[in-house]
Amino acid sequence: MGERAPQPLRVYRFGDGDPLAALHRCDQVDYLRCYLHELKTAWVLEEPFYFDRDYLAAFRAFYGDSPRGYENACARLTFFTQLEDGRELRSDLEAACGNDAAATKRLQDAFLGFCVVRPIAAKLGRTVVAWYPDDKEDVPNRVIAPCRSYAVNIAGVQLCVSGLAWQQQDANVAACATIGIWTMMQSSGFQDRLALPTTASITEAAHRTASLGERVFPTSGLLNHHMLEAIKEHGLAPLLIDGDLNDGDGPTFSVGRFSATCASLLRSGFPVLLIGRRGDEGHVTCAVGFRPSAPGALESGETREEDSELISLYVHDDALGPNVRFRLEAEESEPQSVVLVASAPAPRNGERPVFDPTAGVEPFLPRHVVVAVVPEVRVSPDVLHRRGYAIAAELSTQIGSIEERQRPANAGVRFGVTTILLSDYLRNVLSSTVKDGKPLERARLELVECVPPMSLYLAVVRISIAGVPMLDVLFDTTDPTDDLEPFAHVVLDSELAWLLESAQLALGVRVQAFADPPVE
Amino acid sequence: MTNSQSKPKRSQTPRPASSWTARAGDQPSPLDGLSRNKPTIVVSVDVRSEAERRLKERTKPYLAGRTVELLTSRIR
Repeated sequence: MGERAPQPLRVYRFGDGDPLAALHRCDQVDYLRCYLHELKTAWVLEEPFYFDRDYLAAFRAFYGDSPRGYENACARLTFFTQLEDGRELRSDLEAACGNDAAATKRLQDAFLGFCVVRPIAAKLGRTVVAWYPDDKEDVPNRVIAPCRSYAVNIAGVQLCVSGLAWQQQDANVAACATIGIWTMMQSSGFQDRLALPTTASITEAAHRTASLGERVFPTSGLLNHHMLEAIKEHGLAPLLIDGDLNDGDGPTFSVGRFSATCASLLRSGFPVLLIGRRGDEGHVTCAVGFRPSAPGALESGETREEDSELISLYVHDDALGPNVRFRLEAEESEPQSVVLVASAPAPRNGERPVFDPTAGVEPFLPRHVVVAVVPEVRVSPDVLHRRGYAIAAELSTQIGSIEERQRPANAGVRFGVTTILLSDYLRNVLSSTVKDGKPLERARLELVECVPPMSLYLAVVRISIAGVPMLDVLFDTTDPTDDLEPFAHVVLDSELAWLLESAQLALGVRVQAFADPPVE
Repeated sequence: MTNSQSKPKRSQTPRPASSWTARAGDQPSPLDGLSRNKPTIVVSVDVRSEAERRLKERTKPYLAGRTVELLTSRIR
């Protein structure tokens, strides 16, 4: 046994000769190569020795005892697109190491993410990659609220990428459920309160009080109650939601309820564990984002949930890779349960380096969803959806009862639900929804000065008509009761203010967030 | 901003937005004219009961009972 000889950083052109292509082929490696190809990756930088906290925990828990002599060091690959002005990666890295600001900026602009390569059979460790450009003009933007910023430091040069970490299961320390929980806990929603757990600590936590004599490592997969325990043991509150249908083998979801539930949780920054079946196998994946559909015309008098149809759901699947795009379909046979069908975008960057592994994947049938929320949020998403429906339906009834000659056309009412920090609602949501100047000033100050003290997290029911936000109703998230009463409602539209006068709604303190009409 | 983020492009038609990304007051109110015309709104008993029936139907998925199979399906 000797000391490890130092090795230089190595730079490769992305392609058949890079270290990713040299790995033993599997669906995860193929997926990552296709993904990076679509991101127009041009360069791969290899750090031959990288000590990864997650792998070191797995090494201590399992691999260190083996006579096979597993290494404790990983390698790390970082990925870059073409650098500005066609510069060489090595020369810009050297300049950036000397604090050349222009070179550092070029590296940051070209940075696409990283991947830890472990010295075990399942090679792909912690991996964060940028999203594909969100540049399709005919659809709404993706919602990727759970994403956070990750920094890599290469010889003192710090580069950042926004995403959510993914890794391949090793089947000894972590199976798919552990990986899903690990991804879930990386969320931006927990950034201020949770030290990032390792896969080893999650599997251990899952068995700490609920093992019933079962051995922890090697893991033989987790049961639902193990997953809930692992979340609870990390200081978060687990929430298990069952499907609303039943296909004879267990609960399944309708398209509408599945879409709306996932969307409201993801919009709140909480990734969603999807528990179900792929083919004959039980499987867990983690939804990390979605693309909503644009609200279409809705007749006056009608009510809809805004996110009851999604264009895509983006999922971290340990059997495939990060940000895998799925579309939601209803099965043809009764009870028409929702299934997730992999749906990769058409190639934009020429022929893929390998066959896209998502093409042959069987549909996934979700039966339960599990989500970790902060403990202060006690209200169930189902209660909020029912309250949202009731408010939207009452307003729709009012609009539908206007004499036909004067009734506005296509003024059906939609609603959506999210949970958000009060401070984020005041700072970000109001700022992007309400016009600057007097309306915004009034709304913010009235919420602070005229409304009884509100909870740290708010549940917001947003009422909209024809895509225009009309009303936010703010609920207490610490109250788990079914007959939840709102703290306040923020009226975003002057015409709706008039309508509210005739509606039979108790919505708490009224806050005006529109300009006063000019005095005639 | 990394280069994977799209740069805004000029477009003739605005990109569709969900109500969470739209700004109130950027376009005419979909209820334009209500406060000016002050139409009579009379919600008849029939309309009310039909609305309540629809509401009950639509919120049914959110009343699904918990049929948790905690100890039966191992997930790998």
